[in-house]
Amino acid sequence: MKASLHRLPLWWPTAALLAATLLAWEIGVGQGLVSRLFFPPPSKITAAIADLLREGALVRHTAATISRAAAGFALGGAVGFALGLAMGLSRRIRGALDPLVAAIHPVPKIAVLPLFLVVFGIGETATILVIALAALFPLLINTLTGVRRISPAYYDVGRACGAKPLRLFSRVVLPASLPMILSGVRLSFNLAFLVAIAVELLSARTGLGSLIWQAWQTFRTEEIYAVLAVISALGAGTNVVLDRLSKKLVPWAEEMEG
Amino acid sequence: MHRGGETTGRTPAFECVGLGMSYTLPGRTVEALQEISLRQEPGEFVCIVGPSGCGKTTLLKLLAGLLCPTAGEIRFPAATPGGQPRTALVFQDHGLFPWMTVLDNVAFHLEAMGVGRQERRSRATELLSTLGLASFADLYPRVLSAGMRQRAGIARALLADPLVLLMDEPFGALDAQTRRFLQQELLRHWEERRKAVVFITHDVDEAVLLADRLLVLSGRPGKVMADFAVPLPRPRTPADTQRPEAAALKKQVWAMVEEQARYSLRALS
Repeated sequence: MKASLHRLPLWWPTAALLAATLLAWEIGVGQGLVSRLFFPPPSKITAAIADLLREGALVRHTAATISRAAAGFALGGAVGFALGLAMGLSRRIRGALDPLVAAIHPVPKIAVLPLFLVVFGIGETATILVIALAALFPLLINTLTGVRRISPAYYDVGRACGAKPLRLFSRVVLPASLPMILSGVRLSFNLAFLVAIAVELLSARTGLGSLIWQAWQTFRTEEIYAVLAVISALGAGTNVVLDRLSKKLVPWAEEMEG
Repeated sequence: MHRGGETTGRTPAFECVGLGMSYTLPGRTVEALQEISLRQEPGEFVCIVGPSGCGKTTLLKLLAGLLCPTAGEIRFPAATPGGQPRTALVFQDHGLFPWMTVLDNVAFHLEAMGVGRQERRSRATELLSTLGLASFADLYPRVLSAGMRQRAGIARALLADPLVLLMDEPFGALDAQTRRFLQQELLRHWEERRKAVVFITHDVDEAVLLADRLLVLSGRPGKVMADFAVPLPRPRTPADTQRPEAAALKKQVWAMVEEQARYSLRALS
């Protein structure tokens, strides 16, 4: 018995737990133990996902959310990465920007949306800028920390071998801080995705966030669950991809930080 | 002061004149090295011993160009043809980059010198083969034993073929068996190439086994207290250090180092 259990893959308890929950849910609703209105049964949620897929709405809205999150992440991430490197490498730049980062970082970025809407008008520009602002900080802070944590001994090795600044940067600074940078990428992308959906809830006519909002307004609870399931799957999928990417890019690390 | 290395007419590998190094800390100045004047012949193996904290590593960092002296100067009068580096440094803790394979680490000094990828990789592969490390070439340092890592660290410096090879207690962190093995490997290499070596150690036995000349540094600020010629023939084996003349030298050097260490301890308390 014990031996056969060990031959099962590691994720089997998760799968078993999920299956049991869905089964209990389905039966509970069928027996009238659980409210059908607040907790539509999994079969109905699955049907809602299928309907949304058939109409093409799901693909359209998912594409809208992903493209916003990606655009915001690309913009904010690039700026955050560049600023993190500059602050990590130069004491002067760090001194100049530290107070600014400390002041802006704790502000929930979604709270800036109304201001951006005033300045840029209602539309994609304001949306993507809010997402970018949110995505900027995790990558900035992780890059900065990664660069600052490089042991001075590695610079000594590089310089003792006669490496010039550019080579020190590409062969020492970048690889040494890469694990921290990659975990920053992951945090930034997750935040971009989260903020994209939050902005859509508030102000957009497309995207998974707006789809949830429409479902609420028409009281189609099963559709709310359907979109939440899709969001969860997308998030989990993204993290698996980023995890694989990290392992590929940092084959020398025993374990990823973060 | 004891004088071992006699000045010859040859161009020295390097010379230090009145070399001094001090650090400014908040509120005080710490003098690490003072008035170091030193001349090393090409092909000479010099060991430097001294109590811990006497500035041995500082001296090596100055020679490697990692620090700028606050007094005096270091001269490398000999021409270094074809981009040969003046120095290569072997670090106490191997100094390998964890993000590079052993091969890329060993080739890194050549890379920094601007040697092309093909050439540096083939030269690194060749050296790894002669060291019996070929099967480790594509591994990352973390999977290697401490001794293997240090051999790769030494290989990187050897491959750069510097005018002066600088070694900062390279065997200090190894177990006795590995240390003995690597000492003999280093001696074999040195016999083949006869490169100028500056080797720092706190182990007097090691110094006597390896060196032509043995310098004793005083406690902080480090000054050259004594300069002995090691009276042993080449090539050497560990058994040679048991000879009476070597034993007498060891005894004398140990006494000096101990006295300096006691003195430094008193100065601290």
